[in-house]
Amino acid sequence: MNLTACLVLAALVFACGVFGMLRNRHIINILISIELMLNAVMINFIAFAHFRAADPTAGSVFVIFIIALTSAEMAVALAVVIALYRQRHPLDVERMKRLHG
Amino acid sequence: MNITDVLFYADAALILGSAVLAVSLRHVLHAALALMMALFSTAGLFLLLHAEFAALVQVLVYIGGVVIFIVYTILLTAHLGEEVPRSHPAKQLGALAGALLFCALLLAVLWAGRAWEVPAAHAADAALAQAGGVKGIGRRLLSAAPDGFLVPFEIVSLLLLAALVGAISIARKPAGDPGEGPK
Repeated sequence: MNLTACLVLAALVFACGVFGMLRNRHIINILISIELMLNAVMINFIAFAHFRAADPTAGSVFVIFIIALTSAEMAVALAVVIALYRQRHPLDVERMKRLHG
Repeated sequence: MNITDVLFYADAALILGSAVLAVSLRHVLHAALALMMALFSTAGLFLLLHAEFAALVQVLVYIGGVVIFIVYTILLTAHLGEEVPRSHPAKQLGALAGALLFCALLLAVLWAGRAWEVPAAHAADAALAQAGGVKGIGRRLLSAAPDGFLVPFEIVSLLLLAALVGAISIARKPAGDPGEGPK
């Protein structure tokens, strides 16, 4: 186990997230892909904190902030999903015409 | 190869496998469960990297909160069994190509970074073992010293409050709403 192995793992997980975001059409699938990408970033933070940092506590603190921000983001995003469903919009992103620019 | 390496590679395989499942499974609920698996094995990786508190928060907040919330939303909004149509096959190929290209770029950056990699100051093992613990993190989060995180902590708490209020007001049922669900 070394830093490079962790970084490669994080890169692969992030690429999975990119793939899922480009491929899926259901809005919740896309949110799940975003979660995966954030997860990869957290792996990076913890790996750098473990192997490199002169101040390893900061890595954990950053991860805690990321988790807090993600939960705020997901709360609002899922509230939007529920509101869309209430107003009888499809949850398929390619059919959400009202949000098109 | 010692036991840590074995655990790391097993955990990495678990993370990657469930990440692939999470983005490729057809049913949304199954994808959410695969995401839960990926996050859980990431918590295991955090434990291997001596970030115990981060692993704890990951399990409590991420798996216990966010993913459960996703599952609830799926159950509230989806008619079980009904599936969103797939993207066009050409578009799926394009997504795969894009992700592969992205991955190749990231790995190339990593490979290029080898050249200027210097053996950085590695924290002592004792400091490392303490760093992920609850005590050190708690002190750092609430200390007003220059290396403390008091101000970001307060800002995040404000943001969480705003997100809470926003989420409730967005998802609230409007007055006189006759029913639920798409037509």
